[in-house]
Amino acid sequence: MIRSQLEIDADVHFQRRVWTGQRIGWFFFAGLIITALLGFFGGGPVSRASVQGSGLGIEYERFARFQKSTQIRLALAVAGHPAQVELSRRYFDAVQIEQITPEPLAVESANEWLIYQFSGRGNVLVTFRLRPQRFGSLTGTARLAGAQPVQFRQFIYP
Amino acid sequence: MDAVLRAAAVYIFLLVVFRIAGERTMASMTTFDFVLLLIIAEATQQALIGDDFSLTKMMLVIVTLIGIDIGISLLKDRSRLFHKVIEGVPLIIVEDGRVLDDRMRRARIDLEDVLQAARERQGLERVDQIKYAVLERTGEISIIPNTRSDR
Repeated sequence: MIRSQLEIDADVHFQRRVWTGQRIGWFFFAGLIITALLGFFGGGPVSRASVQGSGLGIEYERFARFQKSTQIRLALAVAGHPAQVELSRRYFDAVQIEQITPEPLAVESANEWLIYQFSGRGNVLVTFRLRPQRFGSLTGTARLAGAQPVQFRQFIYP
Repeated sequence: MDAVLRAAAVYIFLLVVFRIAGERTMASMTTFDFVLLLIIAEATQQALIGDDFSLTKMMLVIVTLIGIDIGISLLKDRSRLFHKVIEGVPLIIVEDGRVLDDRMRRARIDLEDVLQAARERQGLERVDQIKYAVLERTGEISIIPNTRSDR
């Protein structure tokens, strides 16, 4: 043990515990960086998801961030044109729509749904660019007219 | 994912650029140097943040930057070569009152810089009172004066 004549408020035992704590913290940093690279905080392989059902395919991001642009892609396999898809009001009230590609012909509000009409040929692909305005769990539903609804879930980080 | 990648890219880019610029570039802070530093900070911030204002992004960027910093410091401990590449090496520029001209020229220092350091740090008057002048890794010039027994 080092005995010094220095008037000093040293505490080597405490310091050793601080060092240990720091090294544990470093592992957390590394873990955080790796999970972020994988996409647990938005972007990246883990976050990309898609769901299918009754002529409707939805590509979305499982994890997104508050007020950061994210994209939802709908693939509508419809026979008749213009293509019509209904989207849940609750979801779209929680996000700010930045852009819809292609632009809808018309948007109609019907109770808990927003009815979008798109013109197109063959399979209609629609991309919504959105900015979530809330954080936490967000559930969205979409359905083609008269078909089963398809649900997708997102978690929005603050 | 992009938060981490951007932060890593910015860190590495800045590290390389400042190493290439040399130690003297940022060593003595004139007003202009200070303004230049602020502008660099602004330019960096735009690239890091983009249009994502979430807390999560902020935390990821900061953890990535600090994490890389820690990682590099651990690597520096393990490898002398890596340490030299990142930190640089000190350089003797004046020895026993004798100015080493071509070293000073390559390091972009002139005699006046050395004399200024001698005055500021040791209160020396002339170059022949300097035993050693060293350009440190930080870009500062340190002065070891002649002691009475050296005369």
